[in-house]
Amino acid sequence: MEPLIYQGGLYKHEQMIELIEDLGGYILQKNVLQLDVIVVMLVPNADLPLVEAKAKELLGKLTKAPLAGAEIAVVTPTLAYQHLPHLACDLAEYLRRAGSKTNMIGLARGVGKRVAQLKASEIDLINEHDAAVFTYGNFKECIKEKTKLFRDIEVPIVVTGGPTMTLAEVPGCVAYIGGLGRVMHRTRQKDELAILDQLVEATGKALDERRAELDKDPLSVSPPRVMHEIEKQIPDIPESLAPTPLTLQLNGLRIKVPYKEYKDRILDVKFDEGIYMREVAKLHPSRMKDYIILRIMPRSETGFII
Amino acid sequence: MMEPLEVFRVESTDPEGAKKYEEVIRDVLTDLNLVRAIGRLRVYIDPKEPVFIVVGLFRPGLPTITLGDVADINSVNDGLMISVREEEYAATAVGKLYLRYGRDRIIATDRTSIIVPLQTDFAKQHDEISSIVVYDPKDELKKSVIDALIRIAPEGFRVRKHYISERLLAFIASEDPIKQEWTDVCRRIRSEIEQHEGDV
Repeated sequence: MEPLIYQGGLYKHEQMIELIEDLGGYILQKNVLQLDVIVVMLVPNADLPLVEAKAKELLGKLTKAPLAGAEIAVVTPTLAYQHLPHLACDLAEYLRRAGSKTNMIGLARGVGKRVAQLKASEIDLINEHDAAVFTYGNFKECIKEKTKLFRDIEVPIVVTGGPTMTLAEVPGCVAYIGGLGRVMHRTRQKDELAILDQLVEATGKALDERRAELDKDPLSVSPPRVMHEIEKQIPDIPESLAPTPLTLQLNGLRIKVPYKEYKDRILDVKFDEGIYMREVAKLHPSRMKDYIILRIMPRSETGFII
Repeated sequence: MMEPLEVFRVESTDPEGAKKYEEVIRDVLTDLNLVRAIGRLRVYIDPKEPVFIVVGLFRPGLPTITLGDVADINSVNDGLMISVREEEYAATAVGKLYLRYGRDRIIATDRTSIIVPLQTDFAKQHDEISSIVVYDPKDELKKSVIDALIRIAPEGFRVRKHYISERLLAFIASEDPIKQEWTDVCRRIRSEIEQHEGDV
C-alpha cells in the first residue's frame, strides 16, 4: 500500500474517502480545517491511477507521505524558551507534513551537560513511539556527552545538532543531522529547509529499517486493519476528543481512551475471519495519560496471519 | 559615539559552536530590542569545563525623562501647581512628590495635577521639581538585559554570577560551582573590552 496525503476542498471530499474504502485502502487521519480537508491515507498500489484521477476531478492535491503510519517523538531538553518554540515546533511540523503523527516531549532534567538525565517514565514514554528525534545544541562536546541519555531507549533515534559530526561520534543513534543546533528563529531559509528535508529522509530510512525488521516475523494482522475494525465496532472511540483518537504505529496503535473502561471492549473486537482481538494483540496502559497501547503479536506467537 | 554592536565576538574552544552561538545571541538581542542598547559584547564559551561568560558595555546616552519634560509648573495661591501633561508619567510623578513633601502637605486637585507648598525661593524650587526623574530607561534596560542573558545562556547552567552597572554587564554561568579561573577570564575580557574603548 502507498501512503499518500490528499489536500483539497471540503466539498465532495467524501467521494475520495468512499473511493479509498471501496478500493480496500485505509483512512489514517482526516483533518477538516474550515473549508479545507487534509486526509492521510493508505492506497493499494494497483489502484493509484484511480485515486489520482479522482484527485484531479476534485481539484485536490496528492502528495507522498513517507512517514505515514508512524508515531514519532520530538524530544527537547525542556519545554522552556531556550528550546521552544522555533526549532522543536518546526521539526515536528515538518515530520507531520510527511504524514507522521508527532508528539513533543519536553524532558524534566534534559538540560546541561553533566547533569542531563532521563527519568524512567520518560524512557518508557519515548519507547512507546516508533522513532525519536532528539534536538541537541551547538557544541560537539555536549552532544557527545549527552548520548548517555540514549542508553535505555529501544526505538531508533535521530539526533539534530549544530556542528557537523560523523555518526561514529554520536554513538547510539541511527542518524545525526548537523546544521540545526539551538535556533532562536523560525527555520525558513532555503538551506535550513534543506536540512529539515534531510531529517525527514533520515527518519524515513530509520522507519524503513524498523519495518524490514518487523517483516522478518510479520504481524498477525496489519495495524490499519485493527484500526479500521475498532473504529467500526466501537464507534465511541473515534468520537473521543483527543487528537487522532486512534494513532497508528508500526506494530500497533495508541488508543486515546481510558484503559480500564475500554480494555475489555477492545479485546472483544471480532474480525471477519472469526478471530477475536485478544488472540492477535495485547493491550498495555500507556505512559501518556491513561491511554491504551495496543501491540499486535507477530506470527511466531499466534501461528497465523489474517 | 559607539555604533550598535561595534564589537561582537564569541570566543570558544569549539569555533563551529561559537559561530552558531553568535546567531543565537543576535536573535535574542533582536527579539528583545537590545541591539541598539548594547555597544560591545564579548562572549567566552568553554564546553569542556563547561562555562559560559558574557561581558558587555552599554551604549551611553540614553536620555532620562524628568518632571520638567512632562509637566507644567506654575505658581498658585497655595504654592506650586504641578500638572502632568503626559498621563503615563502621572502616577510616578505623584509618587515621587509624595516622598519629597509628605502625603499630608500635598493637595491633589485631580489625578494629574497636585499642589505642593512653596518653600523658600520659587525659582530654586521650580528647578528642583523639574529635575525629578520620572522615567529612567536604564531600569527597563536592566530588566531586559537580565532576561536576555538568561535566554542566551544554556538552560542547564543554573549556577550563575552576574554584575550589572550603569555601563557594564558581566555574567558567568555554569552547571558547577563558579571557579576562580572563570572569574579571572571574565576580568581579562572586561579589561580588554574597556581597553578597546580607550582606543576609540
